[in-house]
Amino acid sequence: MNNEVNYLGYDYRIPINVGAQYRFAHGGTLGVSLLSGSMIGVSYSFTLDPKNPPSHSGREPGPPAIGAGSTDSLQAWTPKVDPVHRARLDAALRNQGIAMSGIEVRDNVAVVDIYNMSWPAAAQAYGRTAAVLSMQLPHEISTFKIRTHERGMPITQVTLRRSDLEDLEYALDGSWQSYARAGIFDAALSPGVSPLWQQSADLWVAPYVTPFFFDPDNPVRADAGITVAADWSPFLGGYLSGAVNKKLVGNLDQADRPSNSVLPHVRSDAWLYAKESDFYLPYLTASYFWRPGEDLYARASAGLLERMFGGVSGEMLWAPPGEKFSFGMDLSYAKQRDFDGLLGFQDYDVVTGFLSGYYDFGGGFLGQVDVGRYLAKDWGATFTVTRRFNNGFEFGAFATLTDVSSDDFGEGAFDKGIMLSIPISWFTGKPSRDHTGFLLRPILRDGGAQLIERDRLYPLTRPDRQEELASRWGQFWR
Amino acid sequence: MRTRARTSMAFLAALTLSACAVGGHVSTMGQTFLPEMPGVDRQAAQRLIDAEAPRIQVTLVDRGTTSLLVKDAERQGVSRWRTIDNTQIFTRDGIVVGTRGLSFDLMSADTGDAAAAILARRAARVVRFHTYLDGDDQTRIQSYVCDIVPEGQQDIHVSESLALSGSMVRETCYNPRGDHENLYLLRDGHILATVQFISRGIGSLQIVFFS
Repeated sequence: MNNEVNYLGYDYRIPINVGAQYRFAHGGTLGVSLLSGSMIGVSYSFTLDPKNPPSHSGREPGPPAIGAGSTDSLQAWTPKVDPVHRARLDAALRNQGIAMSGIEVRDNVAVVDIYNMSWPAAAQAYGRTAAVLSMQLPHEISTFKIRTHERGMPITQVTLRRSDLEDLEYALDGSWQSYARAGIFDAALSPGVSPLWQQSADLWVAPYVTPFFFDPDNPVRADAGITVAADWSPFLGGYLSGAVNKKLVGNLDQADRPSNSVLPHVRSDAWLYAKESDFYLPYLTASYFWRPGEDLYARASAGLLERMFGGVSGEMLWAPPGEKFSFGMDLSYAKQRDFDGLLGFQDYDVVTGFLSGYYDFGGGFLGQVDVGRYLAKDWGATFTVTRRFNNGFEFGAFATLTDVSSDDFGEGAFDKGIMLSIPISWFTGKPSRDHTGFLLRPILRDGGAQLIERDRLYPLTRPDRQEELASRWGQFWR
Repeated sequence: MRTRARTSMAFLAALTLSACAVGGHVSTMGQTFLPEMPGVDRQAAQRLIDAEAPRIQVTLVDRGTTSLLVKDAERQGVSRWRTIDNTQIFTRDGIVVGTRGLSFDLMSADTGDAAAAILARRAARVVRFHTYLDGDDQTRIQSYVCDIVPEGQQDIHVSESLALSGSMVRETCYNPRGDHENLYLLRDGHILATVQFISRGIGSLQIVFFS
């Protein structure tokens, strides 16, 4: 034991360890222990049930009532919508957390393009939009075709009849019946509203925390600071996005374990990025999103794609509505960024890309397989299994096997980890589309590393696609 | 009989307390439940107040919070009441058939048989159905077997200046996941005041109808 004590630098004073635990009424357990008379350990553990959030949903203003329709003349709405009426409708929808990007009235059918700005369940955005339309549009307009969008892409069109809304607003099983009577289609199948695109810009400031775990010198490190981000859409589907991060406190820069990886240092130099700069650009991209055809979604991006790599990237997703499977492909040319996190690049570059398959096993279990070439130019596949609850709570695990041998990969043998994503609304019960969570790897090495891009098409479009829309339709009348 | 007396006293006490709490808020339509967020159109509520729309006084019995609500809409026999910050209660013949904005909301209810017996002050065993959303956004329908028992005339003092007199009707509902009890004070076939169970998360609402 003396050898162990000397080798580990362990301060061994008494041959007794003492510990105590206290269990709180809400279920959390706090533990304190004294080890060998020289060290104190503190732990806290708790259990949670994803299906039983601490705050039940619905802490929000109620929806508008279904109305009999306005007394406006139909001529005010067709063939072209009168600007005054359009502005009134726009304001009423915005008051419900919905942004309207277009409206057309054809015969007695209103086609309305919307963006859901607020509601965690897309069904709730459809329900509130339908209620506003029933009130604001003339009674002669008997059918509403509501089309949701993400990043300029039309995703899903839901057709609702005014008479069904009137029948089912207070019906015991109004939720199920309204889903059964709604027509739900891929929005790319039908013509949308002639684009009356208005430039949009968003600017926001938020705190950030970047944790780093399992460094043998200090198992928990973190930086915290302020991020200022902006998003500008100069034309339909086009987005310029960027952010700057300013570190305020943290100890990531105190890490000092140079990488011993024999592979290109695509991830294992992460600590150098923290060390070299406390003011950096986490991303700065120009992107274009579009629908090339039925069931297809596409994205092209260029710029500083993530903290460590910039370049150009393209992605396409084939996701037929109502089916259990989807397929995607992406291809990127990536060049390693300078450690200072500004606009410069290093010499290392790579062409990386994947074929991806997604499968819904049912019961909330989703599988994903990505096969292709990784950042360190290794070839292989990543297997991911996720348990997703209807309320948006999600956790999963992944593992990557590539043609890099275990010896070349280094400690850990292969890349693997777990992820957790929790909707903010799960904690608060209030409407929000934001999530929080983490991705945890036991060790960050260079084999099996992928680009970490924003706005990946599968997670971007899934909330509005039919699969998830159906699972949360209970929120339609809320 | 002793249990009945206790419940009636609780009903009376709750009414008196709520009337005190809301006394100073009548001109502004009471407290608000929610902060600013999408769906809060305070001007719309103010327009209803200015137009002297019908109003009710509602108390969350477990939380002790009281607010005045104005009638926002009425369609197919359902009255839709709202606070200034747009928490909503739906009633049909004075019986709650839905709530919004209270979190553990009653999404919808089939109370037709119960309403017929209560308004007629007729003893009956009926079935009522409630629809809820669970924590995973799934719709759950609860059924209750309810015994409705008329209890005769009672006087209730809502405040120093307001006393209500009417016939009390008690509705006791049974379900394996929990029983509950509702009380109704009626006059001329209308509910004047009531305490009704909404959900396990909210508990009961006490409502006084002013019109």
